[in-house]
Amino acid sequence: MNALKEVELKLMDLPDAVRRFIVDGSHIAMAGFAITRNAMAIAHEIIRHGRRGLIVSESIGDMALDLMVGAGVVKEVNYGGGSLDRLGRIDCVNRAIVEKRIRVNEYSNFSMVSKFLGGALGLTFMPTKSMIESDMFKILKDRGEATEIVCPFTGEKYIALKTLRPDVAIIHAQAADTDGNIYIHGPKFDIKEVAFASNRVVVTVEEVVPKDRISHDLIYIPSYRVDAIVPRPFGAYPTNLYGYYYHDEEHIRSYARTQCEDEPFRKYLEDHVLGVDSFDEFLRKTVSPEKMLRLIYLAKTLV
Amino acid sequence: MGYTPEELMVVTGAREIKDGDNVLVGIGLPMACAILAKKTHAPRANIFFENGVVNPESTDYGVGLADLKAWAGSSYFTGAVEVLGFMLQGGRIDVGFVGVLEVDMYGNVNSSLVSAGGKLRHFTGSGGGNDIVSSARKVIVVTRHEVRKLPERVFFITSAGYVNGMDRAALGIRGGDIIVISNMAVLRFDKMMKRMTIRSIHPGITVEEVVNNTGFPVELPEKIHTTPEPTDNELRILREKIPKSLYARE
Repeated sequence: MNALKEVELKLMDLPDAVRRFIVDGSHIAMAGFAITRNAMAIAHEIIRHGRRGLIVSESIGDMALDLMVGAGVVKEVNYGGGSLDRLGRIDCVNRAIVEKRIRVNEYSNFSMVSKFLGGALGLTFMPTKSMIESDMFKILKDRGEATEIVCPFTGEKYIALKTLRPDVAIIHAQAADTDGNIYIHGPKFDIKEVAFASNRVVVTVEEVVPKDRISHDLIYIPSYRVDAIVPRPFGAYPTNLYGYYYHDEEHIRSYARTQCEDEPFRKYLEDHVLGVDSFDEFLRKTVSPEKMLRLIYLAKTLV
Repeated sequence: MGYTPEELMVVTGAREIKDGDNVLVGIGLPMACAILAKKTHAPRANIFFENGVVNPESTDYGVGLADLKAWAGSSYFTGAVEVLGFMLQGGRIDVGFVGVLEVDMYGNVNSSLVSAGGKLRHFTGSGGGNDIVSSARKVIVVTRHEVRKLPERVFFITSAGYVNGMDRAALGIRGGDIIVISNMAVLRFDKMMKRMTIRSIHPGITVEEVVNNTGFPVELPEKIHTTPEPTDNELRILREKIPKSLYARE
């Protein structure tokens, strides 16, 4: 099979990607961060497909995570804290913690990154110097997610973390090329660790470009680690994407104002996710072409 | 030159940064400290964000670490393993700043959970906060000086300071000394007891005000120093070069 054919097999639309790679109970890994690079389009599709009982791991909780938790499709979260920056809190996750609706394992950012890194390295645990003596660690220890160990060489104290091998990573990237390689521009956060820890990698991209249009030096996830490529312009909206579009402050604030209260949150979900048949329809209903251009223009001035 | 309490906090925080230091910050007053240090006495300091942004130089830092505005002018984009792993856990972050919901008399930090009127509320959680307090060579906590922000014991330990008054190294924590900068004073932790004590009180603030706005009997040293005032040059650079939205209260 030549390379082109292989890419064609990986190219698919959102419903197809969700049908093929995410089932009830799947363990999903994400690499968004607050209001940047959220895998929004695929989160919408997962909710619309009515998937249930998902485990979601993400180093910094974001809008995509919060929306999925609020929509009731998640049974367990591993995260390292999170917010919508100063636009608001992720109150579906916050409420899930205090109301104990679902299990939320709470870590520090680097502890989560270490769990992905360890999983990517094929290790079953990772030592860390974070979280020592914290209440997060006490809870995680009770749940069998972490424990204290000493270095066999120096006797120094560490926390051992269980590592992560999620079923599927869902990542939104700037571009794929016609060989199926993925390009990530801007800060990388933990995208590589998430992609290499997960068994399958589903990537939504703003655009597909000809091979070598972008220098292959800049490939961030190589094609052999990518299982599905979904062309999905504005796929991180209303969060931002470096070089492509700024976040929609007004929209994110209005989401945050629901504070995950039953009625306003249900209304948000109905208006923007469940009551539309596609992410395209969501975009058409939600963001005017003029606003879209403003968000694009602003991002282009910030590279 | 006259100045506001926030301006004094920024200048005081900036002075904790030495030239060549690697500084890990979030958006807010700590970022103003780091920029001011770079634009005054520490031009070779490096500024890191936990998401992999290095040395941003923007005119508007927006609403937080995930705002594209906060990344403008960066010298380098990398990832979390490099910033939080190689640099921070690797022992190469000289100064780390954190904001808090609460910080207690033993320097323990809460940014996760509070109980208000018997009702639990969860906020942002750790993010990189625990990592900073756990591993930065010097930790600077920035807070408003109020009884509820400075309780005897935090409701939830997101990041361990001196725990029950213990030596941090003996607990297995690599992070260094903790300093608290409030709008009233600079506080440090007693070498033996590891209890919060006054390093200096800001000009115009009385010992009584500090005591009354602290949720536990803060240790009073024999001689109480006054926090050095900002110089005209520091104030001029702060006002001309650093967006006020970073440090002034809304």
